[in-house]
Amino acid sequence: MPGISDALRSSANHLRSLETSLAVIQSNVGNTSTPGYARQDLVGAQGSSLGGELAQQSSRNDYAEQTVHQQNSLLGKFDQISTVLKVVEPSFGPTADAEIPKAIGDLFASFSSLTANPNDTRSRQIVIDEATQLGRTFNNAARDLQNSLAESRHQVTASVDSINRLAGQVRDFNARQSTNAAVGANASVDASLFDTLEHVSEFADIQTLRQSDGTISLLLGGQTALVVGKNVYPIQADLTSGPAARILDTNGSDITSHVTSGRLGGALEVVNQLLPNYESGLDQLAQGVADSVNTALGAGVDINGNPGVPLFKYDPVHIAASLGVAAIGSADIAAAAAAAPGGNGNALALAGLETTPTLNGMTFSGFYGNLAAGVGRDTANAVDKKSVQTQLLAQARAQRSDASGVSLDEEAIRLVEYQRAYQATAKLVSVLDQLSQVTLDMIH
Amino acid sequence: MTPDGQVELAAEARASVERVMALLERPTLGALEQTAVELLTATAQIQQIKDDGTKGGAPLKSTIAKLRKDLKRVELLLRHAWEFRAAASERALYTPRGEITAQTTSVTSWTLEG
Repeated sequence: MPGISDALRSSANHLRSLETSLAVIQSNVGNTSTPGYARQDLVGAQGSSLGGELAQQSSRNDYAEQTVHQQNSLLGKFDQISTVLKVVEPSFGPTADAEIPKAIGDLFASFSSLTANPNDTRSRQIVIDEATQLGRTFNNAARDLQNSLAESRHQVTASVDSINRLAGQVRDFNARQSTNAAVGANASVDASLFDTLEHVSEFADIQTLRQSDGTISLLLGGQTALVVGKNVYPIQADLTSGPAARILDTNGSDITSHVTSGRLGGALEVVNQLLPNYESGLDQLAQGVADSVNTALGAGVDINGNPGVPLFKYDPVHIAASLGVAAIGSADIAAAAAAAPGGNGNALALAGLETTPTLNGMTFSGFYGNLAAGVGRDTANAVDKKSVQTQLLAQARAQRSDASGVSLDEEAIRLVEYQRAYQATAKLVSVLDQLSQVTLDMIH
Repeated sequence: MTPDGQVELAAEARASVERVMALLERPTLGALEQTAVELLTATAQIQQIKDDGTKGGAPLKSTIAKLRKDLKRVELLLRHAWEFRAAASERALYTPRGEITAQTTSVTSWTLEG
């Protein structure tokens, strides 16, 4: 028969449950805006007596966390790329009024003018002035690219430093968790840990594995261990052993190919692919113009009947950055053909270079247009993808927030209902897509 | 309908699709129902333009092209939302590479083909 001690024990249990409930509510309300916080739920403690004690449990959903990390990583990547390309793009204006095509056009216009007055000192000086201006224009564009490259290389180092610093914070959590298993159950510690993990995901694609002892293992690109238990394995940026930036693991192995996302992935793509491609195109154009003009001048004779000398000079390693005019005077311009000194034969040949397909079957302006279009396309793609990722991250965060309050059992039961709703929506999207395509085709 | 009227109607249809994108950021059952209403409205508007004979020229073409671009994003949001919904309701598993995935069942094999 229940006695007074049972009644007292029951009352004490109820009071403890009430106290726990209040603590959980207070924690949930107080941490509404805390980054990384997951709502705490009350559940029946394992092994508790019937009608007995309640325990606090995090509603965190690992799948939802991983989805947010993936989207955050991709947003970091496209934000990094679009930020750099938006700075580079103005140097590659798409129209003929942009600096480089205008300077090329002005140089060939000066050769055309020279055909009318091949021995006129002023016309000859204009050729040298326009060539000087063209050199400066290439120098400026190359300098802008170099500045962006230097900034992006700095971003590679900064991202690596951030990843290592944040990995250290995860290691600190693991160390505390190893010595006190209750640490991970603390809602604010848990919030801080997951805020840190989300922050790491901005810099690289990461995977987290919750171990049986409550510690978190952190992997980079699914393959490289950053944190395992109480050990952290820092990565390094190698910017000196070659033109490409490399990422090395703690043993010095090259893991660059494992980093495909996050700000670090974006900075690597900019440093190792995009900017070197633009630089190469710019160098090719500068060399094409310089070599064509110099070769044509070499076939003619100057105002005194001497063989023509080069107009342009450059450093073969950094062509666009070093393109300049050789130390020649206006009389040295070889406007005449060797067979007809004093004439305009060579000036005509020089003027004709503008419309000659010289570079990869393209004229100089055509080659520039191709290069500018490539930069513009890359920039537009990066900006567009950033916009899409911003929305996908917002969706992932909202779903994470919703998932924390959802019973997975109930979700599974309602899945068919959701499936019908999704299928209906997808069908409507498909109908609207086809209809708008037909309507578009009708517009001439 | 005047050419300007067609462009205006296409812009309204596009606004519906933009609202769908916003709704899909939090794709609850209620949001999906509202999404269907918005998509039906947009479909009726584009159908009206088509039946009227397209007179809006370049501005109409540009607006519908933008609408179609937005629809691609709607598809992407819808696919991600569904994958999340299906996967979160299943048992999560880790791959050998440490990536967390959902245990696939026949329910999750649904695609956006419609």
